[in-house]
Amino acid sequence: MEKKPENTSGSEQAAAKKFDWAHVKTWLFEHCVMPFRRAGWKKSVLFSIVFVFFAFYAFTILYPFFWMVLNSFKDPVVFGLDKLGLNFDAGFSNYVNAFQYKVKGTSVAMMYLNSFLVVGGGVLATLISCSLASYTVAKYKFRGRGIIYNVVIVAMLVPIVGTLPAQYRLMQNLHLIDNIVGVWFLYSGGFGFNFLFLYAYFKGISWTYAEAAQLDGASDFRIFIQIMIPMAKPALTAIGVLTFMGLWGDYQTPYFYLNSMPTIALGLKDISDQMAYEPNYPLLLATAVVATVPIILLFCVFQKTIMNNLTMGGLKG
Amino acid sequence: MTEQTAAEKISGRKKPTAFQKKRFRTNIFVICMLAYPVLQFLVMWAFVNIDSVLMTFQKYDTFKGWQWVGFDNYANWFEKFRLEPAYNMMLVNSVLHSVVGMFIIFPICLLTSYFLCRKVPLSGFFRIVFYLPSIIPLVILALGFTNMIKIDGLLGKIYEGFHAEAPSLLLPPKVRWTVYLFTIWAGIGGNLLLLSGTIKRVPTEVLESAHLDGVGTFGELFRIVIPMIWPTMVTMFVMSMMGIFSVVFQPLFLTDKLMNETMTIGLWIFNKASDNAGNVQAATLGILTTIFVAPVILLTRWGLDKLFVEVDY
Repeated sequence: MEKKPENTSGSEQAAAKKFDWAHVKTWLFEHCVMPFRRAGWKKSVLFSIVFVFFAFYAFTILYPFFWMVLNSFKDPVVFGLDKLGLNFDAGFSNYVNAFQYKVKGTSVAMMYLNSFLVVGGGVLATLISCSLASYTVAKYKFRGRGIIYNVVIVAMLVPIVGTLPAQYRLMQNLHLIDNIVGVWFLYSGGFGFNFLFLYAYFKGISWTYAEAAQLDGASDFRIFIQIMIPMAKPALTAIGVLTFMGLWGDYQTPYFYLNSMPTIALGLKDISDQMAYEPNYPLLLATAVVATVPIILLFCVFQKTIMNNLTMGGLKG
Repeated sequence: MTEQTAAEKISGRKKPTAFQKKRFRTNIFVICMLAYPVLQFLVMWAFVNIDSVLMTFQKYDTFKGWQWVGFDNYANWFEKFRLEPAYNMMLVNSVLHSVVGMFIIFPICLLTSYFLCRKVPLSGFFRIVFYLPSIIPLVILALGFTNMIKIDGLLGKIYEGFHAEAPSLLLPPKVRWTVYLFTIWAGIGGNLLLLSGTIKRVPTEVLESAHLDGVGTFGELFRIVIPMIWPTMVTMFVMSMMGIFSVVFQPLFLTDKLMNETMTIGLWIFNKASDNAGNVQAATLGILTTIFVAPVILLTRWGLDKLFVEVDY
């Protein structure tokens, strides 16, 4: 193995760390100029038009977030006078105040914790339930296997609306209203899109590994836990991250079933409503930024896993 | 014939073979693995759906509890649609959301996915940015969007630059169209990853041979890509048809209050679901919608499936 030179001077290290403009230039050339050159003039015109539309749409998506972040550092009075200017007078005070701000007796900090608890449990429950179901249906031949698969497809295709009142009545009868276990139970559906995605993934894993383990005396359960689950880690990670993102923004479930434990999605709406009576929009924007951070972080960290797993497979109708 | 042991003779039963033992163990394993997911499905899907239908024939009385009322709830809804314009508007809004989903959001999503796959400059960056609205909570999206289009927001400043007054997009009568605009703006990224994943799977050899035959960009899209990804497109198109039910929070978060102009079937059901007086009406509205829409959706899917032959690649 090649060894790193040990005696590099400070100036050499600084030079190495220096921002490489040549690299940026090459990247920009490769991504902004080359696509046009490769395309030929007819396509270049089309690509230019598409590029302008894309750039406009991207601007409309990014602008509100930059606006939110910038205004979350403003003093409420300054914000009232100028919503588009740059001013960072308030520093991080809006963020500090946001965490202490209470709506219906619950602080934003508490809502944040509630969100992690509810969503974390929900993701875990979904992953367990989903992997149990998809692995078994994908890898074991048993009576009713086809029925399960077909029922899942039919359940996805036939749109049955208005089940919310019946679901609420059931949760009421099971005494699961205002109970976090009830919400986890609700989230822990093992069938649906996640099932189909994991089913396809498990189908693709060779059974030879399991046969080798069986010869060594491993039980079915051990094969599942120690061989199949680690092999399905990329798919499970993608599903876990996507489920986390979905549940983090879920408004409906906590609204109906977790009134005493409001999550950040629920709290944001309440704060937004409260602003009509005691306007402090920079505080609301700081809360919104704080609520978005985990999602953006998670997306940045697992972006490749999500993109690769979702884009590689696509979806077969 | 194998010899029987003394124990087998006494009990009259044959000792299970190794294969039978393994099969028994496997069956137990399958039952244990499926017990929870199936139970959850039976309770939260099957039971809830059956109870939903039963609810439409019931009424809640504070003193007598739940009572059977036959088709009264259905009759009530037909009466409401006949006499009250607000409910008709709700119906029209929901259908329009479905139309917007099918004929605006879905085609834009398809074109966007196609051009992202054809490596438009900065396509990697655009793919990430376009996906953001699908992961950020809707309440935050609505907050950002509202402030962008408010009179004192970016739109107002642009109008100011042209010495004109910005329209009030969040008040009737324009608010209705603003909700559609918001649904489109926030909805494009939804199927982007799945669609681009499917487009990427189209073999490059097929596309290259088409280029050699002189097929242009749109020819490639309409004559090669679309027929090859047809099954996926049908599934997604059918899903966008279901927009009639899925638009619930867009009007609520955008306008901060319930308005007749922006009411949808989904939002009405959401609003009444926990209310003992209104939940049977909500369930009835849901089932009525299903009765009318489900056959249309299934028929559309069946018809669209017939248009192109599925290709394996």
